[in-house]
This record gives sequence, structure tokens and C-alpha cells, in this order.
Amino acid sequence: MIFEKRTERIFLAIFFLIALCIPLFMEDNSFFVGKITTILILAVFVMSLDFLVGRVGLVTLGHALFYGLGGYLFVILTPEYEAVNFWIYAFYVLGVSALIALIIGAVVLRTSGIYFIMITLAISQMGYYFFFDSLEFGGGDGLFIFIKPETSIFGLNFLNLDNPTHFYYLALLGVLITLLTIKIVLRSRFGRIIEASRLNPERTEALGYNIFAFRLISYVIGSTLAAYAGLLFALQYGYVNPQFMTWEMSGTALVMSILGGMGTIYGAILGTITYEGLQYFFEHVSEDWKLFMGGAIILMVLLLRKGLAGYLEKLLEK
Amino acid sequence: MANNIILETESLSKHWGGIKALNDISLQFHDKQLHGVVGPNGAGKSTLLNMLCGTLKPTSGCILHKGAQIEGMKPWKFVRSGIGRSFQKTNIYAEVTCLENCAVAAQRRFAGSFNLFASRHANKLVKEAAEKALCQVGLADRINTIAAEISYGEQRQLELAMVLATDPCILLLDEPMAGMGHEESLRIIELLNDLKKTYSIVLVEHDMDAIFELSDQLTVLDNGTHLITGTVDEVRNDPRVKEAYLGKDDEEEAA
Repeated sequence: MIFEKRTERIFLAIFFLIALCIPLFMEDNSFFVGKITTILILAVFVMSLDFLVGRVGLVTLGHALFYGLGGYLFVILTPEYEAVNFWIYAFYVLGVSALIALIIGAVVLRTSGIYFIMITLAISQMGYYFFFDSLEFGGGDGLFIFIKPETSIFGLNFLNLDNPTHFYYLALLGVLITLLTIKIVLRSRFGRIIEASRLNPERTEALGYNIFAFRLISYVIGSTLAAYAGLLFALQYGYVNPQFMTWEMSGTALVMSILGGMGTIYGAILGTITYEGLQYFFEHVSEDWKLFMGGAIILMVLLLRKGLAGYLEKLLEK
Repeated sequence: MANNIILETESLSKHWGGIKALNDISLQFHDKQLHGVVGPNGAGKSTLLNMLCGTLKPTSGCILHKGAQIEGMKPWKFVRSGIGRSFQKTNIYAEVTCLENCAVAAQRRFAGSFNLFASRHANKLVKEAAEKALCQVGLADRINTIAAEISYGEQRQLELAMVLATDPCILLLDEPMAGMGHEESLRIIELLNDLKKTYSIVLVEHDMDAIFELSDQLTVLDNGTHLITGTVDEVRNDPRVKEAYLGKDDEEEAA
């Protein structure tokens, strides 16, 4: 069983049950379905960050770089006025993202601690300004996706990305794949060494493991999943711009992951939903919603030391 | 010496700027022997051990493992060639079970650690090797206990078990008895007596009774220099040792 905790199983069962049903009842409300789709895409991004920060022990402030790259690479790699195959091009985008993550990772992973935070932040800011200042990539306005890709597999075409409900299920599939990928990797023999290097890097090296290599592979996995989230987001709204890559984006995801319960992975889903829900609520209640939002987050972090997932576990375990 | 030389240093030195932490040390560590290293604080014992296991790079000189020069290798490669080390300060994975602690140590020998898919629990050999190491040090009844919850003495034993699980040919032990009670120390002494039948052991220890009892060869370091290497009796009766290490007025204690 890759889901070890009871709380985790209960939460995920309820989550996927509700998530599967939402479009059935909300078919007419495409705004609502779209909003939930965005939350699901963000959950993919936050889970990938939670994996790196909470499980591998790499506190990165530059994760949004890959979120943005996922979107940019798709537009850059595809012909402008042609409906390409989604799966094939998603594969290309993720492949190139993985390659970029490998190169960046090989540099940033030579540092650790506060220096790692700083260098990841610096590199993602470089990416931001590169796209912001580049004319051929649309500068601050970014790039647009004029024609949505088609999604046929072996001639079967059951997903139409122009249909919000269909896109919703694609995002939900993204959540499932990301969740399973991370959980399988964590349970694996590779995951054992990853866990060991987070708990005690010095000891792990003294036991004969080249932790740099383990961290580099994890970094590539986490970054590639983030790129997938960015690709989905760009497809949903039909554009990508430098705002995808801001450090605020990385920071917000970090808050979501902490709110949900750092390192729990499923908590990242919980944190994303809660954060987005709170923001939606406060935006409708007050003009000064950021003030309330900040207050609510401070309160929750103070009261729930191990995040929402930690609180649930206290209620449900044993 | 009848036994083969496992590890050897040739004029090994480590300088920090102008400070000579270790100067011109040439030692030989033999198979199936326990080689004690003693010296006052700051003598360079830990520096020596850290260089033997690759975490510190020597300023000059070389380290030979079964005749091959190894001092330039990455630290994690030292373990792979059979050099296992324990730490002075307990250095375990406190949050997971004793079995998992040893499984991390054993996994490298049996199964690819870059396998992203196979469950970590699937490989029987890893589990068996980890259990065997725990039994060797007498922690058989602690297999499924979280490492943080066992006593300090048991954590020191676990520390040893982790080294054993890497299947070393030479053990570098940095004060395995540090902070232990009398009875726990006796257990470790018994264990080391047993282990030296199979392994080559380098033991840095402050517990003089233990060192005198266990050592086949004893090296005294003082202020970064190599004072003497010999049998326990030779070392005990050497006037330089008495002066430098035991102090001029402490001869009764040394006897």
C-alpha cells in the first residue's frame, strides 16, 4: 500500500469521490468548474513543491520557474496555427523541462541551506526577466495559445480541451498521476535514500551514497511535475506570461504546502483548496481581503503546527 | 605481523593554515587486529579518522587501501571499498525504526538505490542483512522500535550495527563508548573483542581500560605528531608517552 496513513486514505477517497462528481452537478456553471480546474492544477504544482521541500529537504524559492517554463515551452515548441497532439507535445515539454532542471539542478545543488534558497530564487528571477524583456517571447504580455491541442490516443478522441468539463478531468488526472508518481518514488528504494539524506545527510554519505545524485534526480522529478502544472494552466487560459514565474508564485505555493502540512503530499491538495477557498471568500467579503487572508494564515499556522493534514491525523489516527 | 595490511598511511599530514593538526603520520592497520589510537584532546585522533574515511582530504601524504592509493576519492566511495566508520556523536536516523536505519546501510550492497519504482520493502536480502547486523550488536529485540526511543547506549550499538550492515573490511570507530555507563561499556568491549576476529578495527577511545584490554596495536598521538606505535605494554612503558600523554605526576594511575 503506497498510502500508509489512514487519514491519507480517507482524505483521498473523499477528495476523489467529490472531485469526480463535481462536473456532474455543475455542468451549467462553467465558471465554477473552471475555478476548480485551476485549483486542481495548482494542487499539482504545490504537491511537486511539497515533495522537494518536505520530503527531499530542498527548500526552493524558484519552483515557479518550471511552472512558467511548462507553459512557455509548449507555445515555443508548437506550430502557431495547428492543433497538435496534446500527449506528444506534453511529452516534449516535460522532456525539455527535465533537461533544463538537470542543468539548473547540477548548479544549484552544489549549495545548501540558505544559499540554496537564494540561488534558486536568483535563477528563477533570471528566468522571469529573460521572458519579461524578450520581444520574441512576447515580453510582459507573454504568448498566446490560439488553437487548443487535440488529445487523441491511437485514433480515440474522448477529450475535447475546449470543453471545460473535459479539461477539468484532464486536470484531475494530473492530480492523480502526480500523487501516484510522488508516492511511488517515496516508497521505493530510491525514496529510502532520499528520506535518509533529508534526515541525516552526513550519515547517508558515510554509508556510501552520493547524495548529490539522489537530490539531482529528485529535483528533476519535482521540477518536471511543476512544468506539467504550468502547461495545464497555460492551456486552460490560453496564454503564458512572466507572471507564472514570479517568486510570489513560488512563495504562495510554499504557504499552501505549509498550510496543508509540509511533507505529507496529500496535505498539499488540502492546503491548496483551503488557501484558494479562503482567498475566494475574503475577496467577496472585503476590499481589504489581503489583510484578512494574511491574518487567517498566521492564525492557522500558529494553531496547526503540522498543518491541516497534521490536525486531521491527530483526529483520525488511533 | 602475520596478518595482511588492510589500510596504510604514508606521511599523512593535515594543515589548517599554519596549524599542523596532523603531521607526517605513517601507520599500518592489519587484518583481524584492533588498532587503538589514543592521545590527549587536540592530538589529531579525529582528524586522522576523518581522513581515513575520506571526509577530510589530507594536505599531503597518502592513504593506501590494500595497496591502492585512495586519498583522492569521494567520501562515499570509501564506504564502497569497505571502509566503514562510526561517529563520536551519535549519528543515526532518529525518526525511523532500527531496522530501517540498518536497511539504509545495507541497501547499497544488494539492490539498486536508483530504482524509483520497486518498493523499498521488496528486497529480502536488504532486510535480512539489516536484521543480521542488529542481532550482531545485540539489538535483536529492538528491530521495530523507533531509533529515538531506545536508550543512549543502545543508540551507540545501533551506530555500530549500521557500520556492520555496510559489510566493511575495516571499521573506523570514533569513541564508540563515549558517554556510556560501565555495564554498557562492558558489552561494547565484549562485542569489539568478538568483531576483531573478523574485521580490522581502528578504535579511537578515551576509555583507557577498554583500549588497553582490546588493542593489539596501540598508537599514541600528541599534538599532531606520531609518538609511538607498539603493543600495549610497549606503549605503557615508554617514557615519552608517560610524559606527553599521562602526565609526569600520574604514573600511579597509568600503572
